[in-house]
Amino acid sequence: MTTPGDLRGVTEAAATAEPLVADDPVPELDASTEAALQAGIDPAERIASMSRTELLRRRFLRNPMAWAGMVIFGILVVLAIVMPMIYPHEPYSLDLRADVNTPTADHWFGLTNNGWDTFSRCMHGLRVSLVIGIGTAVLTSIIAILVGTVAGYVGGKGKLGALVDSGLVNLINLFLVIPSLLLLMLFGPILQQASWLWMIPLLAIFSWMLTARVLRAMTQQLVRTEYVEAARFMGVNPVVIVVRHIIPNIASWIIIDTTLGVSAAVLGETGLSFIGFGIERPQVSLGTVLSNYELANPWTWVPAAVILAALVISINLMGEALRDALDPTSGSSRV
Amino acid sequence: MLRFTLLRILNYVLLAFVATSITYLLAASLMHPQEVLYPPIATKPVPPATAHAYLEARNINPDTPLFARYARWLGDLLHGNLGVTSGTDRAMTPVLDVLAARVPLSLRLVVLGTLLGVVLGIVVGMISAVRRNSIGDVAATGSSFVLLSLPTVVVVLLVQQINQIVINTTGFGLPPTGATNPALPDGSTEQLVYHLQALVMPTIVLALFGMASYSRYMKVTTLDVLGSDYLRTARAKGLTRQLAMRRHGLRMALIPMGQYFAFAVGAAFTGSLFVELMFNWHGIGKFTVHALNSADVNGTAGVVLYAAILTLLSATFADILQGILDPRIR
Repeated sequence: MTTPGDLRGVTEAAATAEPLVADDPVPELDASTEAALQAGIDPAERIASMSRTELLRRRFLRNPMAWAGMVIFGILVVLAIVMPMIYPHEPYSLDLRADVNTPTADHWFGLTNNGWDTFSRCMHGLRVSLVIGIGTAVLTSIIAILVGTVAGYVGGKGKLGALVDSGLVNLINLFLVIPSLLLLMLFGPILQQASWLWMIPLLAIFSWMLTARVLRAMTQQLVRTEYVEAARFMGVNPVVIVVRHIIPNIASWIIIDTTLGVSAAVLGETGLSFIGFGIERPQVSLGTVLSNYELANPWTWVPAAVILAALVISINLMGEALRDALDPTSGSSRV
Repeated sequence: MLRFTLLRILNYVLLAFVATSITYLLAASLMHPQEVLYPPIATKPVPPATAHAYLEARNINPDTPLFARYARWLGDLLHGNLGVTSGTDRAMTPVLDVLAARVPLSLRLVVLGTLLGVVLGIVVGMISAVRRNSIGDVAATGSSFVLLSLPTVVVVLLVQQINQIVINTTGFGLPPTGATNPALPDGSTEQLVYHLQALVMPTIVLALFGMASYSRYMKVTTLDVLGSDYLRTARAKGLTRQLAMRRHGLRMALIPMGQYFAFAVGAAFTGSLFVELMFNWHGIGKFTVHALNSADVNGTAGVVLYAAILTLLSATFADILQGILDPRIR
């Protein structure tokens, strides 16, 4: 379903060019319209030939969910960068002069029972959670694209292709059956000794399967289209076909999945760190902060929970808005 | 149909076997349960003969090749023996006994939570699809969006904190942690009442997550069904909206749900791990953490076998359910 503002006939667009510019959320376009008018180009022509990127950008920015998500996410990123620089306490430093563990002017979110400053821990944890979330999501998508497109592409290509395809499908199923949390718990503490950044590939290895399955199905459909067939008969290299014809067609789905993957990775990392198999001292993540919860003193866990919820919700809001922008027909089945 | 089912089950069994084997090999090569014999855990030197006997009895001798240990474990498995717990805590309980003692407690939680979550999720999802954009729909969709954005531990903490506040203000409330009260005699009525009360909070947490995700799926599938031709035909025939939905719509909307169910049990296993840990239930989840913390190779493999079997059973169950709901597959 295309919303009225998206596609208009040239004459219709010319008639409604004025209001369209008026409610345009992007101010600099006003200027460009003026410029176009001065250059003698009909503004209708400019609107009619609006590029896909421009269209998506406008649809995305028109969505209040996108704005809410971006604003919250932006604030959190700025906090994560700035706060650890200016806040006087470190995550594991002890303040022996503090006499209450509830919030004070010195300790903004109070202290835990063993004297750790909660605000500093939350901000350092936010840093770590953000890095791990984004890194894992990107890596997960890369693995899923590799496996999904290869399995989908070679599936219909002779005996060997079918064999490779079924092998990859079984690999996906195998990873789905293995309780990933258990293997994460097995590897986590060992890789922690090297560097906390190992968490990124570790989480990615156990979260690419469902995406790969969907990408495989999408690729299978695309391989049957005429333009891919034509490219094949012209003798184009299979790798080039996948990169040039298949990936651009599934890119929108990949972008949405990567965005939502960030929140999934943040949640996974939190769970793992909470039970003590994830981020460990001297690093601190939001899950580590939560694991030092005290029911007698809600200040020890509520701030971390709120920050975590704000982070995940803002990412999910952006993801949903992206989905709406890329696929306007999803309105009927949007949840 | 029979051949299809058998092949499906065979494929599942093979997957479970491979999954368990990989975990065993990984656990056996990555864990060091022999550390219990050396300082700092052992306070005085252990005679070599004793050490050898200790390691052999648990099948964790690092001098035996990895695949020889795996072969011995596999041979034991064929005899229905999962070995003994082999961690750094020195106890030598058969893994099968541990599982037998803990599985009922965990299953009670997982099954109750999942069933309640599925049923409530289907009802909520269907209602919010039929009454789209009503206040109830917006509230249900919004709250499941928020709930799915929270990690399990935060929801557990919220429920526990609310219970704590209720206890602090009124003096009455649900038992904060533990499945049973050690002060009460086993099998007594008071113990049963305590256990039922203790069951409430963990079940609420698991059911909330099930409800949140299932209502989302259910809403999508119901919306697809609502726009279909056969439902319009049924309405045109004169069926009331409710009757048409119940007789024709519900069944079709439930078909895709069957496949989600298979994964839901796996998710519930993970969810119950956190729930058991935070409510201090001595179930499989708690044993898993203990086994991994104390380098218990056999115990870890046993847990994976349990999880794999659980996933297989639910996947098979989902296939059967789909066969019942969708006559085109039969």
